[in-house]
Amino acid sequence: MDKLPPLHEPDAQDKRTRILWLLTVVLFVSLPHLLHVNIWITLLLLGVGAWRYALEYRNWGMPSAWIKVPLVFAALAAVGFTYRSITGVEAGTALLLVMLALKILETKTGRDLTVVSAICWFLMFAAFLREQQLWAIPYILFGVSLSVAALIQISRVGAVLPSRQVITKTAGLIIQALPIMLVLFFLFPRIPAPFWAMSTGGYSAQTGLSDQMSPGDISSLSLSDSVAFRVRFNGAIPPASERYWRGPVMTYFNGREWSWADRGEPIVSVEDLLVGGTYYEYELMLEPHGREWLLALETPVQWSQGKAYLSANLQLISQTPVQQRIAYTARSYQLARKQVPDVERHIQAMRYLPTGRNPETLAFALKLRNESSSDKDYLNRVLDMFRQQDFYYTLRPPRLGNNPVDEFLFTSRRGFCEHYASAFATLARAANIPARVVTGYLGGEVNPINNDLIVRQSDAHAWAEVWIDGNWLRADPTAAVAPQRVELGLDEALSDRDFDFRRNMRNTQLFHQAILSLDAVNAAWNRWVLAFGPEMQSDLLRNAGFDKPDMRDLVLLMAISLSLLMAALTYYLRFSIRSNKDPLLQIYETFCKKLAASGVTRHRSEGPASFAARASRLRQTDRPQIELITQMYIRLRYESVGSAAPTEELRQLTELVKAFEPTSG
Amino acid sequence: MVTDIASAKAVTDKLANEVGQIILGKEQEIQLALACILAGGHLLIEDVPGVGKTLMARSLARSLGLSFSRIQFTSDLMPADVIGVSIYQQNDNRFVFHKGPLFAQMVLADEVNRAAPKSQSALLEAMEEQQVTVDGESWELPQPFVVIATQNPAHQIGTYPLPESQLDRFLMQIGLGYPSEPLERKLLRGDDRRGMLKTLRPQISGDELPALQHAIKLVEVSEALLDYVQALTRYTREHPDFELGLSPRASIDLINAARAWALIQGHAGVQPEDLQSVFAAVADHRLRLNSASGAMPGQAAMQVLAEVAIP
Repeated sequence: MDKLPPLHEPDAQDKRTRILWLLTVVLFVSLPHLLHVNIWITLLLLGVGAWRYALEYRNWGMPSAWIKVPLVFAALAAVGFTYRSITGVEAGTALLLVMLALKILETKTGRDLTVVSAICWFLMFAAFLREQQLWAIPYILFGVSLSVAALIQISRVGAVLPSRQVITKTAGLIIQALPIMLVLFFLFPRIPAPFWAMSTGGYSAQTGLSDQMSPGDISSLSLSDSVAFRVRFNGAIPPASERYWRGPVMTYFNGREWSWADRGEPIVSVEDLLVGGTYYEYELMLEPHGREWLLALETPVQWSQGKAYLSANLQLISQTPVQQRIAYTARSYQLARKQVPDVERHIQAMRYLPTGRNPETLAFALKLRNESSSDKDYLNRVLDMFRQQDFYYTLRPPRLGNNPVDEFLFTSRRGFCEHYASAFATLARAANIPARVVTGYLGGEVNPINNDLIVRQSDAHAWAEVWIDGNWLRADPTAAVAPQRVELGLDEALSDRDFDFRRNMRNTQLFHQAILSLDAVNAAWNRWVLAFGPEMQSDLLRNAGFDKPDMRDLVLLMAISLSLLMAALTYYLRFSIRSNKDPLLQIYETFCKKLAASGVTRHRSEGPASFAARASRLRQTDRPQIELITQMYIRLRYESVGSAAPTEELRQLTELVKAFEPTSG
Repeated sequence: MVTDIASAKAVTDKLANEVGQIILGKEQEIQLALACILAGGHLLIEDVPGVGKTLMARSLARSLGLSFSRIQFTSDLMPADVIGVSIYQQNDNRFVFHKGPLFAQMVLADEVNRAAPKSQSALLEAMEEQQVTVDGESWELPQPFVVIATQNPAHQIGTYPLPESQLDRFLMQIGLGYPSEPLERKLLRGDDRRGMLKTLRPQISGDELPALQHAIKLVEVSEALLDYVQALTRYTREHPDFELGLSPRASIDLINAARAWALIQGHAGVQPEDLQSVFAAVADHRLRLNSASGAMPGQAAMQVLAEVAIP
């Protein structure tokens, strides 16, 4: 019996291991934030972590309150100074990180460690404020597992567990939590808008649509492959040249800059429209862009987005900015005509040109109009001019001066869609033809994997609409200059050598395939998980048989489901605890199983000592382990009476049995 | 003297050694007999004549330092021959009780099944009560008091086999069996065993035996072992092969015997093997097999052990 190793008491080594676990979790969960916050916060966190570990390692005392209290106030002031606020996503996470760093200096007892790990949970949740992409999920999931494991280690009374046991324990806990998570996901009442205000101004910095357009100021258009929205058509996908996704309609032109002023525009009710021609039905999942407009094929007459309306410019507008990814279905007719009596007054504004700007253009327009037989003929002559004279399509146009349309039409003749749309609309207005510039997206790529149409920011486009014979007609002057842009997409239209690399990349079949596959997964994730909002939730309840599901039904259903789940879990745990009443027996059974696998099977009426003797005879090389394990087992099972088996010895026995690999006979 | 298991084991080792010099090749039986005595029980040895039953009893008595007497049971043996008799003393004008051969620390009741039931029960009552009552007067038997009875299974005519209820009074029943041939040869070559008996020296005094008996309480009996005991007795009660299962008294005896055995082995707690080692000796004579069952008498205990899983 005296051969047994001594009992393992929690010592300095265990304490160090615990701190190391905690610091690992802290670092892991704060990493996504550290990329965004000010550098001094990162340095503070790393410095404090190192300090705390050194304290444990060198066995120094914790810093006193005289150091900590001023530090807290200094840090608070520093956050306020850096971010000019202590609320909001940026300043809030910064504050959380700073306080977490300082809390690490207070971790003395197990309770303190638990508090720190609770803050880590909150930080992980906060990471979702920044990033809801699919790739973030495995990261966060790993972070969750890591914190659970750390919590297990922290709450151990004795020595820390070996890693293998921690993994199984963590997995067990997470698996138990999964059903509860699913119930909460499906049934927790969804709030229509995210309750955290996304006040980041991040969207305007990205390429995409804007509420104004000033082609003369842009000398280089950067292209972003980020997805603007995805569309799933209910039926055939229209050809690329029909896929004009209408966004902000620019109606006011000051000679240099077109701007969007649709917010105050009268609302058109769908009944006021005469519709005809073929129609397309589709479901559109729009990435958040922080503005009010929604994208739709022309002309939307039905849409599922409750708080959206159709403006007088036939633009679909949401009453609230799109701050989170939304999905809506819509039906668009190719032909739509507004039949309201005051149409003339509305049209009048579309003839306005500022006086004194772009004089050459005005003169040219008047001359050309006089030579033309009709408005239509005039516009065709303009398009012919773009087509036949040496106009070029480029993403790197020269900057233009005070009369940008003049310079573009008669001097530079190089530009991208905005230049052409702007020039065309100006020429139309100069001939007293109502015209407006429409911005939006053109084309998009069909993902063969899930048949989704992916529209990227680089598909952004601008074109013109002119009022001819009591109807708005689309005129895309870019098509006249670079027809490939319309039919094949932007890449085909580019001639500059600079874009060879980009084209090569996208043409690499494998790479492109990978991108599309990833996008299909991402789209499914968006569609089924991220877009699961109040609408999908009430759909779910309607399918479950509720007539008019409201918040009360939801809460009731959630409460019932959770209760049932907890009851089932309790029952299961009780049952499983009863079935493995004695962990000691389980360990011994494992030992016997291992020996049985090697060819030495214990008879059920064979006592442990006799079995050990027989097994040792048959497996001479394993004799020491067999004897040690059997000795410990006999001691725990037959010689310690009146008290539960000491956990420490039990743990040692478990490890011995786990490490036991009998040679097979 | 014996306050821990190790020192108790040292003493029992010496005892077993000493007896083993006389009775060759019967270590198991000697240990069983010792365990029986340590557990405070009485021993029944059933075997053919001449295998050393008496010798075993005598050498045990001698090495344990116990006073010894032998009663040869015959069909005309009267209870008074066992217990003693009151004789009128003319000098004192009163009856004086003359103690019979029963008044010894170790009594060998030879061929106990030959005597009439009346005499048998005189012995058995004394075993149970540890005292005898004659003419309304109680006489304490010397302590410790151990009865070793022998039975001859071969000649059953004109005998009175002990009924089950009486057999229950014996903690253990063992057999000795013939010695192996090499050992028998050694026996033939060696000195006269009865002569050697005189050379045996007591390893302990009779007063020390109670301390040794008390030492078996040092051996732990775990819940797991009690589970096993109950599993075994449950099997004998429920299985159709048995007409009579093990009684609660048998269970208690089992545990005590197993404790004593464990002490002899030097175990701090009773292990399943300890229980298995004493099980046949403790249980076999208390089990009655169904005549319909195909089990062999004497194999019943082995069958139970083989069938019942250790919990």
